[in-house]
Amino acid sequence: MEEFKELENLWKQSDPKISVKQTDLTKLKSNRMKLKNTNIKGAVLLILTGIFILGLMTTFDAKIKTPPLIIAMVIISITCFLQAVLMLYNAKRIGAIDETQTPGFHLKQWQDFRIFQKKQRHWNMPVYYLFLSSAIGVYLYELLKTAELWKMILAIVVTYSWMFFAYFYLGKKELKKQDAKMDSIISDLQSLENQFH
Amino acid sequence: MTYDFDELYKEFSPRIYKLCLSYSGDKIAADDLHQESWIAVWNSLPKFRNESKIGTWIYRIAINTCLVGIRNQKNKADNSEAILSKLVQEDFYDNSREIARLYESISQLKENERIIISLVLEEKSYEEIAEITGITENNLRVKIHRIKKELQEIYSNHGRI
Repeated sequence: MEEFKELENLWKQSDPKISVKQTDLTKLKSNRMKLKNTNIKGAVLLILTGIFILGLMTTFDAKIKTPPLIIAMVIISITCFLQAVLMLYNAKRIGAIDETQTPGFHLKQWQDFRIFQKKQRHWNMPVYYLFLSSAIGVYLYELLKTAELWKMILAIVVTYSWMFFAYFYLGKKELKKQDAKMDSIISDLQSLENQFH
Repeated sequence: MTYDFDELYKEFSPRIYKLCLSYSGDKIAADDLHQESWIAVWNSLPKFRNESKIGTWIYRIAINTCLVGIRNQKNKADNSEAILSKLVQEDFYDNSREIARLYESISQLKENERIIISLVLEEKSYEEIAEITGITENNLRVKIHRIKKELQEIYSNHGRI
């Protein structure tokens, strides 16, 4: 072990320069906190959107403010609020990750969160699109019911074509990409966690 | 017992920086990890309950930061010479190349091995390393013996390049 003594001495002699200014530290946010804040900011924005839609509804003329239209706008607002609740829940989970635990336990917390996030994406997107497409359908019908039939059909076809394209092509493609990224993160965390047994 | 952040920073910062540097093998990454670790210490300090030594607690935070901070090190081996030159460029010691080679050699080990060997080099007791890493002492003894051998091998091979 003589050779190792040499390495120990080198380690003791090393005095690398630290280029971080201590004064900046207390004002900065850690990456975990940044991730948490991104979720909180997103949730606040969605809540404001939901409130805006409800507020907009009250400004509508009594003639067009029919029960189906009100229901449609309420559904859109509820969709925003539910999505916001989900984001706040994610923020709470990120905030609860304890960095002072042993590495194995700490990595397990991240892994559990990422697995939850992956599952969440799978049911979140269909539910979101279902709510949104039904609400938009009712909204379009109510707005255009006095217009000529072909105009109403054209508006509905264009809107739903775009929504189906967004859901079945863009959405699924993005989900696949996100899944691959998440799988890689989960597998990295798993392999790191295994090293601490 | 309460602790003053500035005092803790003064006392532990150089050791934590060495851990970050040996873990990442890269000065820029080490700067980030070091900064991130101290932000986490700052945020968690009010929750410190004296259930372990403050040093153990700080090391755990730094290790956890390193582990989730850098995941992808797959291409590291291909880039070792570049990393080595980055490590030595700002040091002025006579043996700066050897020191840089040591850090670079440590960063070639597996993640948990980098952490364990950095703690060994810091002359932490087996008991404390076990407490920091959550690995049992018996398991640690076996691991440390193997890691020392592996590190010597990597370090010597580096010398021959």
